[in-house]
Amino acid sequence: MFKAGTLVQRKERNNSLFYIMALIPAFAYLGIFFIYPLVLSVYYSFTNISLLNIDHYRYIGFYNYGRLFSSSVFEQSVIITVVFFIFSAILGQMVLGAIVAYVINGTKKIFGTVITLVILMAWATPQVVSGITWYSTLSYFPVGLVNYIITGLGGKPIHFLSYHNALYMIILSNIWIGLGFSVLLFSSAIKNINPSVIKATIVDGAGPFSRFFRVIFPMLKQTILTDLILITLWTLGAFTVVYVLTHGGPADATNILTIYQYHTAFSVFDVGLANTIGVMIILAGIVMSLVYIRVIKIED
Amino acid sequence: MKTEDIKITAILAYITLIFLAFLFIIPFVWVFVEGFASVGNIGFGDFGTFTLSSYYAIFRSKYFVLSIENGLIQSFGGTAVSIVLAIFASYVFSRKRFPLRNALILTVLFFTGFPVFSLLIPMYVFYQNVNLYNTQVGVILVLGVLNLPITIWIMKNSFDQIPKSIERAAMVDGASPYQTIIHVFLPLAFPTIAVLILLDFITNWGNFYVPYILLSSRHLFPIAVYIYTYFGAYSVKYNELAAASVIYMIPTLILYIFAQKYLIKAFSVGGVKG
Amino acid sequence: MVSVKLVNINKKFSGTTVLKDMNLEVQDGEFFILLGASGSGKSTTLNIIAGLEKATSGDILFDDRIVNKMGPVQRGVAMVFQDYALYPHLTVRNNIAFPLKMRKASKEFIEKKVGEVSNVLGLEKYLDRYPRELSGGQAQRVSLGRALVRDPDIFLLDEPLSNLDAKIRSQIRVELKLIQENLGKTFIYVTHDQQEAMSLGDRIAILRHGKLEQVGSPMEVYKDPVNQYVAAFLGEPEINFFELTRNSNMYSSEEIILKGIEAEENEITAGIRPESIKLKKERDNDVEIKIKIQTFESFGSYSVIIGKARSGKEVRVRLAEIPEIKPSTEMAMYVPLDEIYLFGKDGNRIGKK
Repeated sequence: MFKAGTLVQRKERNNSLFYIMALIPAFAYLGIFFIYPLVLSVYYSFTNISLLNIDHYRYIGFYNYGRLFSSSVFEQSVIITVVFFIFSAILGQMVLGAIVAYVINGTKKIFGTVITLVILMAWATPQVVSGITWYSTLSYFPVGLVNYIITGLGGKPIHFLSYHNALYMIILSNIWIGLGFSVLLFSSAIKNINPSVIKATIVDGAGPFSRFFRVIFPMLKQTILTDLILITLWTLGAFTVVYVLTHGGPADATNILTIYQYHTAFSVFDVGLANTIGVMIILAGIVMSLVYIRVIKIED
Repeated sequence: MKTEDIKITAILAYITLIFLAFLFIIPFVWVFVEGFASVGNIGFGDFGTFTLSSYYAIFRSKYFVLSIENGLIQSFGGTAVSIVLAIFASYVFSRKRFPLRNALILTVLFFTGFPVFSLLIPMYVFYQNVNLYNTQVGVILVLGVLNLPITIWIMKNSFDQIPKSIERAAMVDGASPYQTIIHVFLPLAFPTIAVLILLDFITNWGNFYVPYILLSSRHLFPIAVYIYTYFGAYSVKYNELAAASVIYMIPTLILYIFAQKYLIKAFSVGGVKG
Repeated sequence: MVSVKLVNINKKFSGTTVLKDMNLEVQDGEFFILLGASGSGKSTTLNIIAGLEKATSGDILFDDRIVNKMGPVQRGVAMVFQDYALYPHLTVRNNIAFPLKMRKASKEFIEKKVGEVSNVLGLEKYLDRYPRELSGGQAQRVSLGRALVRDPDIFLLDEPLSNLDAKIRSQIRVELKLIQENLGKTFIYVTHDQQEAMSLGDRIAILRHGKLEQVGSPMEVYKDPVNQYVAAFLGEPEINFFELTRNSNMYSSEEIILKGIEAEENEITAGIRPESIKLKKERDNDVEIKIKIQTFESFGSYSVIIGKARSGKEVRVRLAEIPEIKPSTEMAMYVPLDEIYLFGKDGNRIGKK
């Protein structure tokens, strides 16, 4: 009988061991493939490591940071990123997404579902294909779809991807990609609002606009925060579509930070500086992630 | 508000939405038309005649077929890694209270929305040093880790829904923690896990920059990189590019129709509820 | 064949004490009831016996063998849950077979066992159904079957009937009692329902705020409560309490006067069960109580009168006969002196312990 007891104790300990063993792989994996590169990124930003010779490099202190902050290309890239972010993420995805979701909510269910699915198709499309489709739509020569229509109506073709226009076009394409997600998020949130509250606003004589801005909008605070954080992080990490569509050009006109980082590493081979740019992006991301964690409370 | 006004706003809503949907479809027009064209130009002047020859042609291309294969291997590989590791971690997070629990959950959440692109450059150097550069395994491991945090988070929330008494019953019935996971948690959380597999796969299948930065050999390229390099080449047959793009995006679009119902649940668990 | 002993069990959850110095002995083959209101610690006690929760301190003994660190399987316990806890993705057959599958029993053995158990519980017709296709009563039978199939030494039941509607509840209650008698195994049964406790239990333990108030056979705890709480907890309608003060050689309140009783304190409480109150005076020292009838309910075999004493205090009376009474009349009733319980200021019975 005593024997059984010890055997059982071993079994109990085995359970604790199991729980530990269940967590270790996931966290070792996150440690090596997520946290380690993060540390490396910070580390390399203080060195002169180059792709031409990745084995030999030395510590150069804040030299890369100094270079970066005095660089006009970086300054321009930050401005482009901020403009890209405000117009494509905040206005084009979140605000427009909330409005579209609200309008959809007022239509028949099957109609709304079809519209949402169509809009979401853009989000679902692999981004390399999105880049190609937008290229085919906007191309000046050979003539893309929009210019084909314009010339067909007797107008002059427009150089959509020129130095002056390209930024608007990547904003447009990013709205196209991201709108569906915001619409979906806001749709489900609006559906969760108690319908009798909305009925009350109708009885009280509120028109659709004041109903949206005075009643519905304030009730969506939590959704707005969630959406805001997610699209900020996604836009901050946006790369593929812009890379396929414009390569950051022409003449750096669409040189958002990720593209700038990529070219610094793989065209100029300056991995040290590229990681300094990376640290900037990561810092912005960390600030957003921390806000995200505060918004999503861990229940216990 | 008068009833006529309501009618007018309603009609306006339908018109606006139809117009918006139309705008969203426009960029797709070319890929779907061009793929059936006999003339390989990007413009809209002349498509030649309707033909399936582009589709025949790309499937005869060795590297295109190989790229589909690679895309499947890498996407499924990454998905398998994320899902398997997430199942065990999520079970412990959902059912056990231990000292570091909250810190570890916060770590997971922290990486959920991380701007991962910026990590690929140090990753590139790291991979060169450990000989994972230009390998399928290397790509699979990065794809797997990118989806792991969100997968753990969603799965934990799904496990949280399983009543405590069922787990206790399993314990009393003599199931070990491992048996409890396999025989009770997995079948009960199966709908969520299926959606997670779908979402992870779609994300991996659509990912371009991970294989683009971490691979250099043509025979390892997944379809995303294949299409991009084909697009950037000098003499592009646009009808074949379009056909390849359609082949590439069709599975994602079909899977999305299944998964979209759960998308919101996946991204806003805890968030919307507050 | 196992007896269970709890020795000085304490249980704390993040600072709050849930169980305090619990000492308990359950005999082998006994139908033992843990009875208490919610928050009394009865379910915690059961979970600690099951090995699902660990006690903060103290020992759990199965047949004099310490099992503190064993899991539920090693302890050989089976459990039936309030919400049945059936595996929703498994058929009835597989639900019952689950414990055997976990032990890697042979296919033939599993089949034979499942057949036996479903026969005992009348579940043969439902074996291929899923839990969602079962009524509450059927689901609880499956849950019971899952416990039976393992041939455990001890059955632990956590309010197994409380989610069922009244008719099925009494039916399954009878079945449970029969099963326990046939198996002759130890059952430990948690409930908040005093009727269930009285009708099922060989012995009842009454818990309150994590402390054991009294243990005994149903009649013992009912007829001989150690304190006011136990007296009030058992019995339907609830016992009447009167607060008395000493007045030379008798104790009195506005409603009753007690003579010839022995107590040390000046202020005591008298407890009178509704059925102790009679219409006729039987002995000289019967205590008289005058009440004005307010409501009168007849249940066929007995009747309940709610009345008011002159002081305005409500008095509950349960009569075995159905008298002819008109509401609003005042009448005198009588209580045999030896059926009155006396409690001191601390709530404990005077003359006990």
